[in-house]
Amino acid sequence: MKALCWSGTNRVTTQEVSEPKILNGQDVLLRVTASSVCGSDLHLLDGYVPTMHRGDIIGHEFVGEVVDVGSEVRRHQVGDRVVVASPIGCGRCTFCAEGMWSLCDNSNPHPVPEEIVYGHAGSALFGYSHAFGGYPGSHAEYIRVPYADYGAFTVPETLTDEQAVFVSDAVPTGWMAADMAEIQHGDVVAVWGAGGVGQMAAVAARLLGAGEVIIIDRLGDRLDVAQRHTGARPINATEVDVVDTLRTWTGGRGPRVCIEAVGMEASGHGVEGVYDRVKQTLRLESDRGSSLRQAIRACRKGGTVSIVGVFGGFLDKFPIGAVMNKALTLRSGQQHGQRYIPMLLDRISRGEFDPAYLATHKMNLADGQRGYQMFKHKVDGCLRTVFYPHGTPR
Amino acid sequence: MVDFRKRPMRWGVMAASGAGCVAGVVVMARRRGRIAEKGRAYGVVINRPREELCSDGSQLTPPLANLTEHARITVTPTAEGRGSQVLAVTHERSFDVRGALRSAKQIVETGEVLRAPLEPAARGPVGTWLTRYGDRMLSSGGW
Repeated sequence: MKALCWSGTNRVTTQEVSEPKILNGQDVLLRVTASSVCGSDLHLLDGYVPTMHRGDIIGHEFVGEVVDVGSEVRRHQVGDRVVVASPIGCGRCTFCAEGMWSLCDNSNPHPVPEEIVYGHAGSALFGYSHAFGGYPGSHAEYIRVPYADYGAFTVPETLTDEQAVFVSDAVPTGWMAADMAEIQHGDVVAVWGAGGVGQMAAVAARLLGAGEVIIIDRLGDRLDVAQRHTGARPINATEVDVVDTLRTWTGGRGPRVCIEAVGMEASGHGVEGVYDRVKQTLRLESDRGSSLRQAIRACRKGGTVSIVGVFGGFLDKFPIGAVMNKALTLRSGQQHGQRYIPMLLDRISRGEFDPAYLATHKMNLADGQRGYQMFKHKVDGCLRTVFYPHGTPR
Repeated sequence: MVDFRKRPMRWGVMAASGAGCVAGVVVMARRRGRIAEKGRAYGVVINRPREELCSDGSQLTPPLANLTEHARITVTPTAEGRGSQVLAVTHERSFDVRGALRSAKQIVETGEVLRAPLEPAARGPVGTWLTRYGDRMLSSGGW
């Protein structure tokens, strides 16, 4: 079958690979009908995730049709159209049982690198390096889905693939960002990053009762899209001082909830931006944290900073003094998709919101390198490239 | 006769590398000595009550019972009351106590050991071998 493989820094290639098989009784095999790029893939592409191997299939946000089921699968059958949560959760360890699916004890067969660096290993993720399990990703014609009774969810007939595919990752990640912040009625919420996750966080904040949602980015066209689809008030970080503007708009207090949806490759300005880039290039820090620092500085006293942008290692000049002396609450985590997906599919079915607009570019797997480069460099208003391994958008 | 005045940087780097290697060997040897003396311990929490893992309160049931040939196993309830803490201590250097305990936990909790391909889908370069080597060595308690 054809699959899009990581082939070194800044390079993906479409290759002929062997088809996946059912390896465990709880697996299903999917014929992938749509698979989206994700901002966190850029960290793989840019070479910041050390346990990637040439030839690894990437992609972790996908919908597909069940073509084979293992002997222990009870909730799915051949022909089901399903969307799959990007973290792999067994459903029965203490963490899954408490709804913290991305911390599953059982799904990562190679936990050692994470145990060394983080102290403990989280769950495996599809197509996201050998430190996160080494499972082949979804930019392929077929994919094996372990623990399918827990991670795959039947898509309602009324939803298109474009509506369903982002429920795999971007939508629950954004939702979890707002959920972790325990938004109260009328809260001012600021979101850093107007990519897919940031925009879905803005949607979630609004649906959970925020009085005002503000979204921050460096790209004017993304901010326009975000304003149009989420109703968020935009701040262009290249034009104004973000912290000052937020202070001005909130009577000097700052937003009570600050959501960081940028992650380890934030583009800082001035001395701070240069400092981060130099240190990252010299491998003296792994993550550039300018948007996280800004969120902490901007956050209201006693507020919550909710981090869903992906960070991988270590960053420098972390303002712990601001966290401590403003009594901030930090929340973070890879998304616990299995906890949110049924509710999110239901909300989309009822028309509360529609994430399909994120799919700005639609391609087949052979255009993988072009699709990723467009996404990386934000060319032509690219919010998300969605690949169709079998060609025909539903 | 080696003239150390020529290329002093090069000789300095070589000397530092050599000292690093010696220090590494000493640290590993001391670690092995400690392991041989005290044994290697690894613990997991299994999301089952203690009574399910020990049939009559002390007799281990499979798959934990299968580990007793290589390790001493103790099972206690967790402090928060959800699940059981299982501790395995072994003196056998070649026994992969971490892997065995993780597999046992998976079988108890999910009914099977999850299989995942280590090789990349397209081809297997040196990195794959290094990952496998690192996993194996660290799983068995270090090299």
